[in-house]
Amino acid sequence: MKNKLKRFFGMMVITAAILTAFTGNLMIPAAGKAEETGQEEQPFLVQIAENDPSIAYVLVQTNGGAGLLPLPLEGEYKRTVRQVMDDGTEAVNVLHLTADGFWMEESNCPGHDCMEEGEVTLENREERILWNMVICLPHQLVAELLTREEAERMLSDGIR
Amino acid sequence: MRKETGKIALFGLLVALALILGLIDRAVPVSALLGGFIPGIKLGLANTVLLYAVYLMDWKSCVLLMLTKVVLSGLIFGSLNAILYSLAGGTLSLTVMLAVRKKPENAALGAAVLSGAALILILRRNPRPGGQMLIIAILTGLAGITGAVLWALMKFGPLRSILGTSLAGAVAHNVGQVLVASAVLHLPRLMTTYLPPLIGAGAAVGILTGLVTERVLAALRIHPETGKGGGKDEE
Repeated sequence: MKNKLKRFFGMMVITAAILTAFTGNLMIPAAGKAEETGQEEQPFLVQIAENDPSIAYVLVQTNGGAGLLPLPLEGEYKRTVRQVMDDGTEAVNVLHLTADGFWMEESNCPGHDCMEEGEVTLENREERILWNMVICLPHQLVAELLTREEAERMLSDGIR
Repeated sequence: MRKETGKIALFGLLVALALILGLIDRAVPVSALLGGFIPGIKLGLANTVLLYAVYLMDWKSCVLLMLTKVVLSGLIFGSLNAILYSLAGGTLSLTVMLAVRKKPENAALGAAVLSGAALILILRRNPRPGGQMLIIAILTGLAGITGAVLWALMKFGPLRSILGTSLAGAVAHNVGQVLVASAVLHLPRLMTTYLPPLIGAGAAVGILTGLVTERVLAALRIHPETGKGGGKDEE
């Protein structure tokens, strides 16, 4: 029993050491810096104008508030979201919007799970694990793809 | 006196093991390897230590082990936020595992019912799932069937297994984490959207970690029912 215990824990330590050596970088990757585009950024909308031609919107919610970004009718654009978190650090997320959908292009969060969540489009949003959402948990940011009708309903019901 | 020393040594070993396995959990980017398939998931190897502990130690030591693991790994690798998430997952899964450790068949039944409910929620939202959701629906369905079969085998058959405990613990862990996430994000919708897939994934991982733990306990010749060493191999 004693020897087996010893052997078992010995094996665990060796496995851990090998895995550590294999994966190399175990620490959280250094925070990436979002690029400054220099251009004027798409403002967040808090209501949808009658003459707005967009068919879909990305609703971005953070602890600081919420707003809509229209999907471009053609082409693409990026929108940087900056927040100061409770611990004083700056949280930067860059959303990339195209005519079909959006994805999280950059984030200085640990883990970068939000960047791995892939693209949300009107076609795939019922088949994704997170449905229509991309969530950056450390930055408490939720971005979700809504049709125009859903966005209007959300605005009249009150966001969240 | 000797018994106490043994207990302390075992506790220390299990804490160290939990921390090492936690490091491996962080190092293996399961989510990225699966192409962001289920964001934020980990193998949960560190939680297998809690599962051994449930069968090796009394409940007070288990709680202390969980708290030590959560605080230490939070301080070493994570942030206060990370501590909050792992505390919620750890507390819920440990409570469930301690509650069912003597009756793993009930745990298997509970996990089967939860997986069934999750599958219904998934299919209600999208009756003809495709892509990722199809895989998750299949996984959740399989988890439900496995839970039900385990329950039947343990209740009416000869099977004595800790798989039920592991299954319930893994599912409870995910429920705890999503509860905190939906509270932090003020997004109660997560409970009906993200939780069902996580229940399916958790159940699948729970079965794997349960199998691992069962092999380990068998190798150490520890009898899961009594927690005493020297029993027969569980082959």
